[in-house]
Amino acid sequence: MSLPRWSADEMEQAIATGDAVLVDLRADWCPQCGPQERVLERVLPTFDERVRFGSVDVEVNTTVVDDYHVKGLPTLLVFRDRRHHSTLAGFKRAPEVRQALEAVLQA
Amino acid sequence: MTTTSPPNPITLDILDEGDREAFIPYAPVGENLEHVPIHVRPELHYYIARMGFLPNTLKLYMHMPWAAEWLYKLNNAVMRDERNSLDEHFKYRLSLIASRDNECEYCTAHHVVTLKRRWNEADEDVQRTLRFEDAADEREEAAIAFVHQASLDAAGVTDEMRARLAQHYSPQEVMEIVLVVGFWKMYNTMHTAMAAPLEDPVIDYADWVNIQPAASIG
Repeated sequence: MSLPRWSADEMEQAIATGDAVLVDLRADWCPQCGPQERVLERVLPTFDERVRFGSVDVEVNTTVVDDYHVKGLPTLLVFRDRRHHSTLAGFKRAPEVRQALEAVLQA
Repeated sequence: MTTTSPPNPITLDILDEGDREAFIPYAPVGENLEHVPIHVRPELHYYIARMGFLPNTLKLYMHMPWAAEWLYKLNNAVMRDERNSLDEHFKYRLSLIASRDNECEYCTAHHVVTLKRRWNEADEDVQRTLRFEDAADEREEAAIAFVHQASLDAAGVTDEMRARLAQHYSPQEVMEIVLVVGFWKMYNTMHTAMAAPLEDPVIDYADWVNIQPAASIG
């Protein structure tokens, strides 16, 4: 399973549904972003149909960095009920991603 | 960076490791290792000579000298056995990346000091390795990319990464790199889980584990 590439608008549309959403903020130059994407590709099928997910290239969609106070890459943003629920900054291993998604689904 | 330089001679100047206590008492090793089983003593002597001090973790392992002996032998086999094809300097640079990616403060600080003391690396040289800015060629890049991914998330190593490694290295060399990853994963896990206290000669490098890559690799 590969992550859909979203524009900033597509990201906001996903958030606007009110569903649980995970956004992977990435850039081509970021050495941890490839490994992070491979973790997500393995973890996310478990959450399919419960979580919407996509990746956003911050080099193209620069407003996202300011809007969500992003300090570095990779960064994972988690949303639910149209609200920002949590931010995972830096590379996260599979258990941490699962924990964050379980938390937002139980919120 | 070329990686064929021989290490500096082992030292006879033994530094004081300091007095930071671990969460359990250290095993008594004696003033001159006299409490260490005689057949394990050469391994510890070589460790001290190589590092310049007696690492605290070795004093913890010495609660089980019958197991510690094999850890020391495995360390030598993976990192510096004369039958290895890849040189020890290159393996220490890979180990530095693995230990950083495994978030092991203790091992990362040790690797930094080892690279500085045994191969005369400046702080900037070590930082360039941590930032992925010093790969000499595609061959080194293939190894660094593999070690980085395998240490962060082994299940995320792709067929492309494995193929690239096999393209640039002999089967034995591939296994040497795989063993570097696996050996440090084991040590990193144990040392982090125990919160192994850093020793005086390496304490200044405690936060180097936080130096992240600045460039994409592979």
